[in-house]
Amino acid sequence: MSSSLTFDRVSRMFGQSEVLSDVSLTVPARSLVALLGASGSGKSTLLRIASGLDAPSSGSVLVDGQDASAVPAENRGIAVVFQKPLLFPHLTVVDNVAFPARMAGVTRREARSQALEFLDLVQLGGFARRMPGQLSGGQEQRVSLARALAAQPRILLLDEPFSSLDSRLTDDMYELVGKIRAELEPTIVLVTHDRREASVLADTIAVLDEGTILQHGPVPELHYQPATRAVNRILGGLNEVPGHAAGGFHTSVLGRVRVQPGVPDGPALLVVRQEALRLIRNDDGGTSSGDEAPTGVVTEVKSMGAHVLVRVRVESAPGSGSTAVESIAVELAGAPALRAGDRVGVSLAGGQGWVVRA
Amino acid sequence: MQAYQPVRLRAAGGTGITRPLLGGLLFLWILLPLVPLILWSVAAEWRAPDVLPGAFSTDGLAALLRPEVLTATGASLVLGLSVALPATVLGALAAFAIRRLPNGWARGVEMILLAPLAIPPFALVMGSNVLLLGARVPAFPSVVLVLTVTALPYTVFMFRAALASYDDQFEEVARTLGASSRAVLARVRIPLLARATARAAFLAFLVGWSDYITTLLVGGGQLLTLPLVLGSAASATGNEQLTAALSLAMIVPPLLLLALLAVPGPRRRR
Repeated sequence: MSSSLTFDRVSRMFGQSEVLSDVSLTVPARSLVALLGASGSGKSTLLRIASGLDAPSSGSVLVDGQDASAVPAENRGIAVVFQKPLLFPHLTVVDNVAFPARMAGVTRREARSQALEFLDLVQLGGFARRMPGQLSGGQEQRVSLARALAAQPRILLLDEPFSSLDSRLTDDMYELVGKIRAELEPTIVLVTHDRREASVLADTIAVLDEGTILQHGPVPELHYQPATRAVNRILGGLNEVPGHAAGGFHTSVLGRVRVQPGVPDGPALLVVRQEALRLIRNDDGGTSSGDEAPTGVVTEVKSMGAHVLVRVRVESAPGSGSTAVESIAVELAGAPALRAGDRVGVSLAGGQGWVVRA
Repeated sequence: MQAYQPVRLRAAGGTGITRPLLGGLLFLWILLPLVPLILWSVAAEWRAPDVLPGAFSTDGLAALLRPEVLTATGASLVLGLSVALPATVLGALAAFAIRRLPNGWARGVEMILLAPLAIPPFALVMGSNVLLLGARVPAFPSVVLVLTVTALPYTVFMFRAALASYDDQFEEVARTLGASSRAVLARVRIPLLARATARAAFLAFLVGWSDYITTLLVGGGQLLTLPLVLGSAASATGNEQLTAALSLAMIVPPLLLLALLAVPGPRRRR
């Protein structure tokens, strides 16, 4: 049975330091919400409070709308998978996974039989009789996941469980989480500092910074419509172009760009994802294709594997009355033949921008 | 291009030959003193400068089955176990408590707990003897009490070392899997600290098993243990065979316990 989880104005003080400040967040049943933030942002503390391993200084945690603050961790029905697998070293793999059933009073034989089903789910049925020390890091984390699922929790909390695995194993684990979601439909809260992981796994992302939730929304919204500069940066956005908003348009070195409705007139930052920009090659060194696309000079071409990150020094369009110069990052697929010093045009795909307060 | 040659690091102990050689010498250093003891225990006659006894007999070993020796062995065993139990429990509790203290406080408490090691046993015994006599505490509990204090530094040290690598998250994860506080203790904490507990209990047992001064002075002659019988035999002349047999009786049980501790569990971990 999957349940919803709600944090209602949760704060947590450690001495004089406030680690969480008035956090409110709802995780709908059967959804996967990622808590994304840097180290020390308070995301793990929030998870500990949800699980009952820590208590809030104020506010409450609701499970299916019921206040769970007085319910001890062992009775909350909320299982946690930590960064370390924490398999009990004195128990075999199957007995580790059978642990929750044993705690619930199930006989050893029955608990082991149930545990084998969960081990099969994580594709480790053949490892049942091994000791944890005989498993690889990835296998240990799979067993840890199977053990948490064997508790048949109402909510599953994942506290950076894949951060110590290599990229290939991490991708395998992502696939496994997808499979588990399809088969068991658990409510999952994932704590991570990895925006790629959050984007790949989560339905929605809550960005946590210095104990406060800056924004909670679907993955594309956070990438393309960040609420603040901080959210844009945490989600990996590289461009914050200063300019002026007026009448639903933002004017900057990137020209006049239509922005979201309701933006008050005044100074504003145009946040535009590096992936949403295109470069127009300008072989004759003149302005690009005769349209209004701003132009600039390539200052850096950095390989990012299958992509390249190009930095362009963009100047204000002639006749705009401005002399501003900005460095704009553009991420391109493939290996474009670009070198520092090349003159290029920069265009915004879709022609729609998003501004935040300067 | 030059082929890559893997560098083989040499162990600090030296080459492949010196290490087993040093190990062998260390082994001999420990075992050699036992050889004359074993020979004396079966020597009916052994005169200098003979390398080996002139005649052999099992009288010394047979003497170990005398009722007074068996009673003394039983008393030592009870004393060892009586010290091991409270010293192990208190050592574990103290180590857990110290772990929760701030660093400065932890060091202070640790120093107090280790103090019995720095005080000469005779001074410790004389001081506590006056107190215990004044409080009219019977002999056996008095001896157990003093020896438990003597054993405490060893057990605290064993648990402190074990807790340094103990991860509290094991207990947290157990709780989120439905384990009550009691189940966490029985199914997680105790099994994870089992080896440290066994080692601590062994050391505390040795303190009680092999004690002479405390049993003699605090026990006031009412408690006859194996070390007292051994001391009495050793102080008399012409008792070399019995003394050697009693010495072996002192050594063998702890060695058996040690061997038991060294046996790996039924499930070997990598």
